[in-house]
Amino acid sequence: MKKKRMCDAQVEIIGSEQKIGLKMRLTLLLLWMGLLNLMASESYSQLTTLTITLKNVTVEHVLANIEDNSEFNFVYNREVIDLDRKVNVNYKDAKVNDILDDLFKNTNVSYRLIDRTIVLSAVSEKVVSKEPRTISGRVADSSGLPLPGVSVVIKGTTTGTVTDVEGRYTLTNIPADATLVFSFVGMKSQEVEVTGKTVIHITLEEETIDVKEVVVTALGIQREAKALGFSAQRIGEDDLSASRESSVTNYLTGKVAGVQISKTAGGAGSSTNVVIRGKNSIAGSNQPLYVVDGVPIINYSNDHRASGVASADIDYGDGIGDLNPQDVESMNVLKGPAATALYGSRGANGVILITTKSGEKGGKGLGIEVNSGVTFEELYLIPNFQNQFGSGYDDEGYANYSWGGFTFDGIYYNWPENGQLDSWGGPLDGSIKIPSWWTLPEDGSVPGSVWDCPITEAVPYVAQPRNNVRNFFNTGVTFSNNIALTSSNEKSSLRLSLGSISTDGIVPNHEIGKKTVSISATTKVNKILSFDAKVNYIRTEGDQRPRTGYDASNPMYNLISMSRNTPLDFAKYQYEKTKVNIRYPGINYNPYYMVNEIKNNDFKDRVVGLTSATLQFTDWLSIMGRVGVDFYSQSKETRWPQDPESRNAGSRKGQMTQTLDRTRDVNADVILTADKKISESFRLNGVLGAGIRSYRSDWMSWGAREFKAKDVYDISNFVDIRPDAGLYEKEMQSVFFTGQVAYKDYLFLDVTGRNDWSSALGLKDQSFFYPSVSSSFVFTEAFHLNRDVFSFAKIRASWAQVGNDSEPYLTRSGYSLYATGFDGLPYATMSGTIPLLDLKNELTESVEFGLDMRLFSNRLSVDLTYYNGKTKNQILSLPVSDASGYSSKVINAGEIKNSGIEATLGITPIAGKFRWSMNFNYAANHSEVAVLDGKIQTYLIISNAGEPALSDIHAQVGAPYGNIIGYAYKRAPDGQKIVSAAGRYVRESETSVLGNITPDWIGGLNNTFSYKGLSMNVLLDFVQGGNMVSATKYEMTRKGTGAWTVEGRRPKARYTEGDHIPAGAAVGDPMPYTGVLDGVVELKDGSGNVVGYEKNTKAVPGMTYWANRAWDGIGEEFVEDGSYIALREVMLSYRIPPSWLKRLPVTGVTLTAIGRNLAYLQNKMDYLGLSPESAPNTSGGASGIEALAVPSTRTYGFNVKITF
Amino acid sequence: MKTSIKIQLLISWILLIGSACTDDFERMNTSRRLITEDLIDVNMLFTQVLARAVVENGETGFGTTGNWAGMSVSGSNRPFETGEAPGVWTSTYGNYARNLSNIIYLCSTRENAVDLVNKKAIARIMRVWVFARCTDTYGDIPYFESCLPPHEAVTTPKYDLQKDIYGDFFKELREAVAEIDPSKPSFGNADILYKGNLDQWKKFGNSLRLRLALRVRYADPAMAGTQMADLSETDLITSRGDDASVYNVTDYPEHESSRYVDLLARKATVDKAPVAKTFLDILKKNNDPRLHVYADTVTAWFPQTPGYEDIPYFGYRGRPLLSGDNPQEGYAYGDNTVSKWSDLLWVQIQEMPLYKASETYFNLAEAVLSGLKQGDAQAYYKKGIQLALAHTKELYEKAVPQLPAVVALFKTGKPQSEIDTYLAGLLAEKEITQAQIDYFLDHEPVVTLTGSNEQKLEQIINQKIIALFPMEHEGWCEHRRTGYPRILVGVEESPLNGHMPRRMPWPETEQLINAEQYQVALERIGGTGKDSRTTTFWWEANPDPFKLHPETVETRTTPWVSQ
Repeated sequence: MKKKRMCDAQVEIIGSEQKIGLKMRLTLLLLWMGLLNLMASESYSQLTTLTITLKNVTVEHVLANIEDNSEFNFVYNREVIDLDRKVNVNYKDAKVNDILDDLFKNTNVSYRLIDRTIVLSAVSEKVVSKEPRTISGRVADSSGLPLPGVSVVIKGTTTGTVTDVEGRYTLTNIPADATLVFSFVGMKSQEVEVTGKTVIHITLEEETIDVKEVVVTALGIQREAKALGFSAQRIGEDDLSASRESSVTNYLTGKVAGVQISKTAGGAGSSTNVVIRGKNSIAGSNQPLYVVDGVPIINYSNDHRASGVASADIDYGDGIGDLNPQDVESMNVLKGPAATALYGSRGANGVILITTKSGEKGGKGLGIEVNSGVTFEELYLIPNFQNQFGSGYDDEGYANYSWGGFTFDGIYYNWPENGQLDSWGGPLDGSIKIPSWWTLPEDGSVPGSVWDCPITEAVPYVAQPRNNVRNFFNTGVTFSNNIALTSSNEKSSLRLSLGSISTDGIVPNHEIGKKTVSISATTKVNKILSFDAKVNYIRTEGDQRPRTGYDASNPMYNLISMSRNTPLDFAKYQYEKTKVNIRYPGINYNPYYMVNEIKNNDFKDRVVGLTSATLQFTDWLSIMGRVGVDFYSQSKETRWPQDPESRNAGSRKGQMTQTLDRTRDVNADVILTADKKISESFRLNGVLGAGIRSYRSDWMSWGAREFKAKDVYDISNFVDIRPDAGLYEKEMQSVFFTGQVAYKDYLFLDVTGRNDWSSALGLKDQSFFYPSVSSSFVFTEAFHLNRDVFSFAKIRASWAQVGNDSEPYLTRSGYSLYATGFDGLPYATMSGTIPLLDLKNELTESVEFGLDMRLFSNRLSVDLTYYNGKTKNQILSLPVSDASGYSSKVINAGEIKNSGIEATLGITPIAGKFRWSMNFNYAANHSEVAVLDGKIQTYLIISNAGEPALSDIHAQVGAPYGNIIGYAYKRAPDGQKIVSAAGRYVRESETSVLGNITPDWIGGLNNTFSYKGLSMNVLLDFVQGGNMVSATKYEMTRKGTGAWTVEGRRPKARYTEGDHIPAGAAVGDPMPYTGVLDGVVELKDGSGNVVGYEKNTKAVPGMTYWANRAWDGIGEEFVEDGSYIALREVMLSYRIPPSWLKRLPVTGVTLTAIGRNLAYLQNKMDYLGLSPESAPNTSGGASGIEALAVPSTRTYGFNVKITF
Repeated sequence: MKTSIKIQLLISWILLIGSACTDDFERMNTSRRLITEDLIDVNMLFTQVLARAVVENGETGFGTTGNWAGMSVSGSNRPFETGEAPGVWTSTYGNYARNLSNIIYLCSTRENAVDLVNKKAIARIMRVWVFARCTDTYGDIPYFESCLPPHEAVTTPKYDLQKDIYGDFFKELREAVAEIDPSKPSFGNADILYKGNLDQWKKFGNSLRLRLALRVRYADPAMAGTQMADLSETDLITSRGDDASVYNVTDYPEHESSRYVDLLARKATVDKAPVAKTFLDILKKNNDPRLHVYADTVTAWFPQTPGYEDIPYFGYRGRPLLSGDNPQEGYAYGDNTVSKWSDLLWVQIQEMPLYKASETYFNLAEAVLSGLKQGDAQAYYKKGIQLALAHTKELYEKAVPQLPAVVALFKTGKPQSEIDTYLAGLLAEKEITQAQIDYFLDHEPVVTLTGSNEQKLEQIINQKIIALFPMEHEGWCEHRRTGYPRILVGVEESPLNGHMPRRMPWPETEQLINAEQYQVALERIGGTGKDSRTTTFWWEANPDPFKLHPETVETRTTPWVSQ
């Protein structure tokens, strides 16, 4: 009986209302013990069966009997529990629960099982008092299966728990008047008032579409999803929180039908290319408009630099990349014109609406959320190098003989040719030696050039380690930390978020840092007036961003063209020892020097702020005024130290460029909203508004050359200073309205209109009107279909027009000055552009039909969209015949058609404890350039550096956007390639279409598996069809460094002793060439007419076999299939059951491990070691160009999210 | 109702603030950078055109065209490929002609047009020079519809006949020279050729007319004769002081000699281009003292590789075009067996000429020889050679103070003593003295015209080519017009089968964006396939244009062996 006494004492303490603290501690202790033994206890109570037959005994007797026959013991307060009641019990192999259920049926007694302890308590006592109590229960789905992981929260607070494996939960210290909210993904939330209950069992129903599901649409207007007559897709917080991406746009990859997202070539911190439903603009921007909390923001990027592979640009990232993903609550993608019509002349490329987090209203007090993550970026694909042949040009291991050689110990060694050596030399088998250039002055002095380096020995002509280029790069690391504090009461809420992301890129010294401060406040002053304010301050800092493009200042350029016998280790040693650039043969620019000494850095301070005030006049009429300001000030600097060996002529005596850019975009609007139910069946909703946008970008820059004092980077220290400045201004004024009629909640008709006046357009054409009409019909509501089968179904249709405004300054002609002159005399030139006085905007018109169906209680959902649009009045700077004296003429002509289908299929094959859901999206966009100006058939979008082998990208009438135009192989009628008498391939004399950059279809497949608190996401991203022009393949074919250039090369230059030497040859004689190109030779008659073909038999050197394809400008060789299937993301996250955390002052901990860009399941460019996602910039044609991008990487990351 | 009135007011207010206040839009949409027509100073346009045409894009004698002039040889056989070469087209229309036409337009339409007559005349003369290069490169080109003011621009201009274009050149040059008025202002310092000297512009205008008249003499002797009839020696550039040329300046690298800039970058590894066999042989065969100024001797050696032997000395050896520089042909004219241009041509500041006085005399000599003009052909011829020699002597003298810097770059990393020794040797070897010149003029048979008129013509043109250097475009014109100098072309595979290009194909962009007019022009020259480098145009009317070179290109099936 000792045992019982102890229990009594405990119960007394629990019952003592004066000792709350102790009671709580004990409760926690019990809970903790219970949790630790949760599994055991469950199994014990489940496994243990009892057989009891007792007649007319007291309850106390029964309990004692149970204690005696099992390991259970009871805890109770004798004073509140009636133990003297007489009962009959008769159980055979029954579980203790069942016995107790019966025993206390219709009494005020409830029990709780904790391990082997059963706590009895009296309900009535707690009902009377308003004191907090413990509530427990089970949650099951409609089929009766328990639901683990259901969140149970006291309404209006963050206090709560989640259900365990058995669907059970226990909450302690619950106020008697509390309301519990049960929620689970895919289930309808339920709220239950406690009102005295201690046991609450709940059955959650699968969520059919919530009638009140709200979607944010244009201008931040919230609409019911079912009322929408167009397609809009939402990405919520669940998708955003864990996967550590530095730019929010990357979260959309593969998840939204018809949205193609790709990164650009500059590695960490570079821009993201986002194209929605194909490209609508031939020459203008094709990037969507980003709207944050209802206010458009600036998404500057190198969007308009359609400079192709030649662009030796630094990608400073885009505007949207500045946003801290941790501050984003949701994103909505408005794809078609009907969705974006209210953005008028800014809506043609789709709109991405971003809602940022704010403190939740409703007085939940202080909330804290901490997110910490680390991700590692590991090199994935690097170009495939051959490792068999070295520098030189004649298969013998030497270049030509003009540079002679050296004699060491009486033996003469040739040295390879000067300059950037190609790799068409002999086999790197060590059979010969070459004089070693790879030395430094013996006296330790800093060499001025390679001529200062003594050549003292000959070294074997051998390959460098295969991984030498890989070793050049680092593993990238990103640390991200974010803390968010929220506080709210009934009237106001406040959220403060501080974020920090720092990245070390894979290119040495490449660093990106971002710090964000975000404050959001809302307050409802009274029934009429409320205010909102949000301010984001973002500071970004970049160091040593890699230069991209086909240019010697891109480290990749030097790495891929360096001959395979060039010791990269020596380059590193030489740099570290001397800190100067020396142009050794085969090292054009020492890549170590480049990434260490040629510097760039940039700082940007940006403030994105918004304030709004709303007056709610009546329950149906309100007005909102809103002002949003996006301002940034960015400074950029590049430094080139004094480097006599520089490839950049301007930098030999030192060079610096500095740019300061101040850009401001102000958007203000006032919106009057009326929403009134005018009869049982009809509801009217209308919005009337007006807005103004004022954009101003003001920049100054200077290029300075030639130090006065060496390496002092101050503008005053330069001899030659070339300043420049510019101002870019634009204003737009607008009025707009929307009107919606809803009939009986199932038929909706929307009409919108917006009129814009833009300063960038011609004086007579500044005003444009953009209308839209859309309608949605919810036939599940209208026909009262069987909900179990047709959970929800609607059809929708819309028509709309939107615009794409012009850049400013296209309406006037004039003259411009140059920063330079001649001997002090200024230079000017007349503009080569013929302006268009009557400039109009680009106008997109589109119809869209859609079907949205959810079947079998949402286990299957289908969303289909068909759209058909065209964009006319393309603003083209049309090249005109140079001979006119002008280079281009601004015209408003041309039409692009885009039509396509989008399908989203959601399936939940397994629901229950283990849940598997799949979401597949598919989009096929068919684009066609319908008309240019009626006369011309082709429009050059991107010219590739004038390298004939690197084809250009054109828009051509009748073809999809982005034909690749270049020289094909000349072929015989049967398709075989023609080989010239000299044994090399020949190109066609005229250019032709070699491919098209537009993919046939894109899609994503997202799988989510969840089991208890554990969930896994696997995302595949598909892009099928679409070609790319590969500059890396070109360069490595030209230089002979690519692995593919091994074929056809002579393994040895000359016969040596022991070889099988054919008759007529001797040791030392040249071996015959082995490379015979596959193709035919033209047979010609006396007058040069082709009369037939015969198989080519001429053997040629490897250089002729391969490099001539590049040298002779055969573009076809360098056009690749850009299709891929990427394993974009695998994410594993575990939410620690909150009950485990009771002892800690935290309410939730989520651990996430994530891998992004893990592998290509399909990659047609794999044999080159290249990723198809490496466009040099985000301009329209650039997606068809691979331009010596920073190697692609895999990212692994870990994240901890803690909420308090 | 009260509420509805309020709402009406509210709506009116929204519409009011929303109604467009667009008065400021025009100002806002005018770029701050833009200089409008009323503000532009034509001097800035003129300086820009001259500096780009003469200095930044000036001829070096080493360019692609230099191959076709028999002056130099490029490393690759690019000069003999079939593709387009839009460089002249682009610079003509995209800059020079556009801006010069605009100067003429502005000077004719401005209120003070009467004071701008000289600027207009000078722009007209330069415009002829610019367009002549263009038509001499492509044949028929857009001319009359080209470079009109923006509001009259013809975006798809028609191609005019070269004959008509030349007709207009002569009209323009006559009118421009005639309208020059010494009482009105000129360009002054903005004119980097003549500092606004109107007399010199007149002479340049006239000399240009002489040059162009001679160019059309086979195609239209009457036109040529008419143009020469009124030109007397005194109207022309006949002395060094009147030469149309500009010297490099050092304010920006692009204004320095491009070879020097290349040398700065590449130092000892700089590629020194070989001298063409044609150019070198003309000097070598006549014991011309200019030979050692322009060319280096070559001490060739071959490494001790099996089958290759040392060859000690080639002396002066020019390289034929398309001659063997690859292993399969035994390096018959390998890089180390041919003479390179001398270090004197790598100095920082050099003369960039458009017209030199020596040319006037060669032109006059030919005019007399062909019966288009009266005079003493031999005297003119000798005067031409004399001026050309004096010019070369000046080239040497101007280079001397700049040579140490050049040598130091070539000998980067070498001991100072070696540099000093080399420099001293160089100065001695390259010096051209008045005595050498006088001896040459007095003793060499080439100074005297002999033989048939055709033989005399060959003598004149050969000497003219040397005098024209580095004006490679002019050299190419001479070769196409007369067949001289004879140029030795090798055997390497070439899409032109070793033929010298006669013109450049029109730019490919024309086929795309000026298709209709291009087609008309193409039909006129014979249709499909005729827009090639081998098609001849109007002024290439020499009855015997292809003059064979007496030698053949050496080929080797075996490597060099020691002698």
